[in-house]
Amino acid sequence: MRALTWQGTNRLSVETLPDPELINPRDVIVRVKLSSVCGSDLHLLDGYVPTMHAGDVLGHEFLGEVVEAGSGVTQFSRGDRVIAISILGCGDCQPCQRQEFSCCDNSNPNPTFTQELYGHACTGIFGYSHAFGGYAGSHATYVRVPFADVNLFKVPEGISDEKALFVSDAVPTGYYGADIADIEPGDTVAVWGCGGVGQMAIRSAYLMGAEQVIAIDRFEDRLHLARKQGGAIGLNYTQHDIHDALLSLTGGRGPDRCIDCVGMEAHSEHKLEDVYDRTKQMMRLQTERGAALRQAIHSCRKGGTVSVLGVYAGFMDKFPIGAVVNKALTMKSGQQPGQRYVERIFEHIQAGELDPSYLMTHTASLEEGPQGYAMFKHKSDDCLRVVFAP
Amino acid sequence: MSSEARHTLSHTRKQDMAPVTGVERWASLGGGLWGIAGGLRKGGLMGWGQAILSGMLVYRAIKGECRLKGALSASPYEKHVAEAHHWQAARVVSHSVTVNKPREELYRFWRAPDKLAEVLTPAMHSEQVDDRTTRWILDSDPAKQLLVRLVDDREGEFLEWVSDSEALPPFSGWVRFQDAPGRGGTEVQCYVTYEPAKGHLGYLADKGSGGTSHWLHRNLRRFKQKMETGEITASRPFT
Repeated sequence: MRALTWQGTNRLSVETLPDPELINPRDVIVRVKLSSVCGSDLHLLDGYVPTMHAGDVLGHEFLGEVVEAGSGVTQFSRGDRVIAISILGCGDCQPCQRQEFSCCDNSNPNPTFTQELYGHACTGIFGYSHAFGGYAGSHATYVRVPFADVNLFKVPEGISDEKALFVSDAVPTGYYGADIADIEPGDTVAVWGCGGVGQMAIRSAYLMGAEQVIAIDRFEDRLHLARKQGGAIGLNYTQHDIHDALLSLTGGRGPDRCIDCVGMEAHSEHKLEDVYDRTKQMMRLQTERGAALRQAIHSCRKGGTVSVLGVYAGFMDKFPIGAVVNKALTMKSGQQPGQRYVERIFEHIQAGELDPSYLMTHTASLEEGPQGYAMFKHKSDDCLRVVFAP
Repeated sequence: MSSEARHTLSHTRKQDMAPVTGVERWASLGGGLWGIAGGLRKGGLMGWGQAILSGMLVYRAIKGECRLKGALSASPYEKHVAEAHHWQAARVVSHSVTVNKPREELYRFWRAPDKLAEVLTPAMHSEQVDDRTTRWILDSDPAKQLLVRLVDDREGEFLEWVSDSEALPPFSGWVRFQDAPGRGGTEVQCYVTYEPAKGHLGYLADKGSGGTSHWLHRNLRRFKQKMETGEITASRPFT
């Protein structure tokens, strides 16, 4: 098969690799029809996530067709049109049985690294480093899906491939971020970052009862989509003092719920903070540039909730714990347990309340993968997401 | 040697400070003063660096104890085990997992060497010698064999073993099965002790690399995967 592989920092290549095989009885092999880039891949590309090996296959958001199912698979057979949740659960451990699939105890075959780094072994993720399992990703002709009955979902009739694809990762991530923010009717929600996940967090916030959603980014094309598709108020942080603007829009209270969809490579509106963060990250004195998260904490109203969806891998300097404590903020975070939401999300799509297909601004063949990622990384041609059709 | 009640937390006590006495203390003081003088004479970044490091040697000599030496030393319990066995050094590691299955089921699996062999890595197979003794043979090197004898066996609760081998270091341990509070499942704690080759050097190498600790953790996770999901979770490059 052909696959888009990571070869080193900012080096990708398309290679011919052996087809995947069933390893365990609960595995399924899927022929990939559509596979999307994701903002979190850029952290791999930029070399900020350790334990990547040359030749690792990227991609964790995909739609395809079942071509082979193991003997222990009960719900899928050849020809089923499916999406897979990118964060893998086993369905049997206590976290999975509590519907906390992204805390699965068993889906990571390399548990020691995260046990040492984070204190506990974390779950497995498609195409996201050996620390998270070393699973081959979906930018390939075929992909092996472990614990298929838990992680695969049939796409209902009437939902197009383009709409269903993002239910694999971007939609449940945004939905989860809004869900854990505990949004109440009438709330103002601020969302940092208007990439695919941010766009879905905006829409999800409205679905959960938000009165107004404020979207923050520096790219006008993304803010335009947040306004047009999401119905948000768009704020460009290169043009506005975000804290002042948020207070102005909320009668001085600050947003009730703040959602960080940016993560470890945030840019800051303040030049000094930006230089400080970049210098420390470059010198490996911190792994995260935390400007967006700091600002969310700074602006969130007293007693509000900060929901963290952005990818953070290690350690952040100047984390404003004083504001968290003295403003009585609730912080929630996590990788998305999409298995919990898929059915609900498909219902929203069928009811016409949600259409994620606009995230797919560009399509490309797998052979064009390196160019597709370059376009996505540099946000050229107003690129929000590139989707490969292997 | 070990019994579960005595050792539940004894292995987690750490050696915070190590004493600096006798010749070591005088050498630390003399070397430190000489280093400070040399560093200050040399000047520049390197010279000041040397002076600061040498100052630390003087500090430990004056205090008569050293935190860094403590961090590199065996824990009080490891020293106790080494003394009791007349070993040069002892490495003690322990890990716990909660498995979402009843403890009787887990005990039975652990008590059946052929089943246990399915989850262990590196791959090995077993030959039952008698009800309490099993020969474990490394698949990659059949010359490496280990005779493991159960010395304590409490149905559904506890297993303790010692080993005998010419090709592998002395090794013993225990596993305890205990009902998890509240949410069900079983807490499985496994504890292993062995004599590293090359004495304290081997101890430091094992501790630094995480060798035995990682091995035990990985195998306990595989046991949990097998018991909960029926599979050993796997990924392979490219597949």
